[in-house]
Amino acid sequence: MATVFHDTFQLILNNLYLIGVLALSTMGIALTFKTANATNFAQATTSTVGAYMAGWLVRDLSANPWVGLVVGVLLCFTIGILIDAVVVRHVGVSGRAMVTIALIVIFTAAIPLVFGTIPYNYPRFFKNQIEFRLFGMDFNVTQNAVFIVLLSAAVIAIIFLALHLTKWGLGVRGTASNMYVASMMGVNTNLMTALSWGISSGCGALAAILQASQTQTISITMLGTVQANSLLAFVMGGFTTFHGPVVGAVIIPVLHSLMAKISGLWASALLYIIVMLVILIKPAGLFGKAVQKKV
Amino acid sequence: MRQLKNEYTELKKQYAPTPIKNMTHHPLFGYVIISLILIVIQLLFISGSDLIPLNVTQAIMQTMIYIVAGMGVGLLLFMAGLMSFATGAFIGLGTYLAALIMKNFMVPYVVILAFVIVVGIVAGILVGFVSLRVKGIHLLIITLALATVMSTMYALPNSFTGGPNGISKVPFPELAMLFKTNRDTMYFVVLAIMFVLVVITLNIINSPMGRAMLAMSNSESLAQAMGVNLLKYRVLAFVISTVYSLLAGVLYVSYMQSSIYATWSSSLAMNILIAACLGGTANPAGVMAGSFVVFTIDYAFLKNLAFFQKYPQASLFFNGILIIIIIAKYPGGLIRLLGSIKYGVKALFAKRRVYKYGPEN
Repeated sequence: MATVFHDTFQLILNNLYLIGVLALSTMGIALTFKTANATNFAQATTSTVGAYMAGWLVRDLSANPWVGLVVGVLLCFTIGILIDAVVVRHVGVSGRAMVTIALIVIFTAAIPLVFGTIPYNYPRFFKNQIEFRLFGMDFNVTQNAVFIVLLSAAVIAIIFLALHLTKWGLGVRGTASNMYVASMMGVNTNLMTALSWGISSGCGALAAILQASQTQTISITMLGTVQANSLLAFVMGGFTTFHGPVVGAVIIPVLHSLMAKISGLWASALLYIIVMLVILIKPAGLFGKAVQKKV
Repeated sequence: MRQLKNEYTELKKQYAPTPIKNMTHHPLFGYVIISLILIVIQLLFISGSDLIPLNVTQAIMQTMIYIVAGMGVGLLLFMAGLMSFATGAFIGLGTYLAALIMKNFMVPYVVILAFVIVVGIVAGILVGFVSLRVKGIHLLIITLALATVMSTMYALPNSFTGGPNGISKVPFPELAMLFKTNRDTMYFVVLAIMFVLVVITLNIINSPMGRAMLAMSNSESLAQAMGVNLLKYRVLAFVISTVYSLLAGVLYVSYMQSSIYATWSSSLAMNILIAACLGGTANPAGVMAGSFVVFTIDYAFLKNLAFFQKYPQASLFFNGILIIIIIAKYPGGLIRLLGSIKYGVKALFAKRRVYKYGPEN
């Protein structure tokens, strides 16, 4: 029993960084869904651009990885604003999902042209291992993973505080609840949606670079499972709230580690089946409320 | 009175459509012409002329297979207003089922098709029931999870799918136990099946079922008020789409003789969705136009260029740009674009007539 607990907890610790990465990515998806009314299927693909930029800076210009982090996030922030200003704003609500699917195609085509087909490397921010004792058992976790979780928690906390305390947050919440009424009340809804796109893409780039720093590789498919998982976390947590998706993003990696303990081969299949069952039982998500539609 | 009647019959005779015009207005006329062109291309290839290289017929072949799946996606998207990422996974299921039967049992091809249709109906009913609980974009996410589950299962080592190596050396089917097909003749089989499915799709669109689906996609509450049973038509839409996907899988494996799990990822479903969206209508014409743009140009021409061999994904770049332009500026799709070009040309000729001969009357 003790060894089972030890192995499972160690597996969760090994995948600890995924909690931070998924939470950031899901936060971005929730932000664009709430304000811009678009489910961003291209979240991960857009973020990969930022990760490649950071990797390129570190590899070819031998820049500091921290500089790469900042530049990558800023680049993705700009790309997000451009996506909203150039494309998404001019498309009707029903076509937006399709547009983001098209963006996946465009980015996966363009990235190898710009950055080449060979995967990049990225150094870890912190290189040490932390070893600690809990209930008389030894565990170890990389310092980098702890840093990733702490940084993403800090970023998400800042976004939450900003949403509830600042004028920008009031505007975003107003836009999220009703775009037309918000624009009548003097909220610049175009600016709000553009900023939301920018911030969500920035969150995605941060997630991508943090994952790259943990797995030390940057490739075009690096965020494939993260994309699917964050969409599922977003639906499972409940898409009517801002905090539901983040809770969903914490649950999914833990659940995945538990499934990996049961069966290594079938882990992701079991995970998706469980998540699908949860969504079927509670279609509005764990924390969401079913919206009654007026006819 | 009689004089009037006589005049009327005279006029009617005078303005009666000629047999040729009658024929061109038949709804299947365009599809017959396209099929004839495709047959001529293949005949030219078989006769050994240098006009048509091998990769062109192979590209057309694959496009026809994806058109079969795309028609199901088009019906789902434009008639029922539902989207699914599971198309690719279901095509894969079709290939594996067909390969299993063709390798182990000597049964007529029709029996394989019938068996796969039954499997498709069962799978479609399951997905359809799911679709009643979850709606809109969240259904798309659920089908994405379903597709991921299925493609991970295909990749697991087992004898059904051959695991990561896939299956190969599937024999070509024997038609009516009489003549063995090969790569060249399989083309005509696929074309025939595609044509039959086009006719079926056209009939579905114009049937009461299609109208009920259209009503459902436009307003659920209104459709319910008019007596449309939502569950029935959701499930029907998914059944049709799944059956089409599985049939496409059977055609794929009988032509390619092999199947590997990596092909059946959600990116194939994405490309088929993009093709259907480019077409812009549930009509098979739209799906055909979109598929020829997305798949044929890529497989037949771009894959040969050295640049695109180095960057295999890059050929999709323009498809992405095109679909964004179509969605943002031209929601009707390629078919409406062709239609408005036709009307534009007609208007131009009318203008020229007025310029040359002066205004009418």
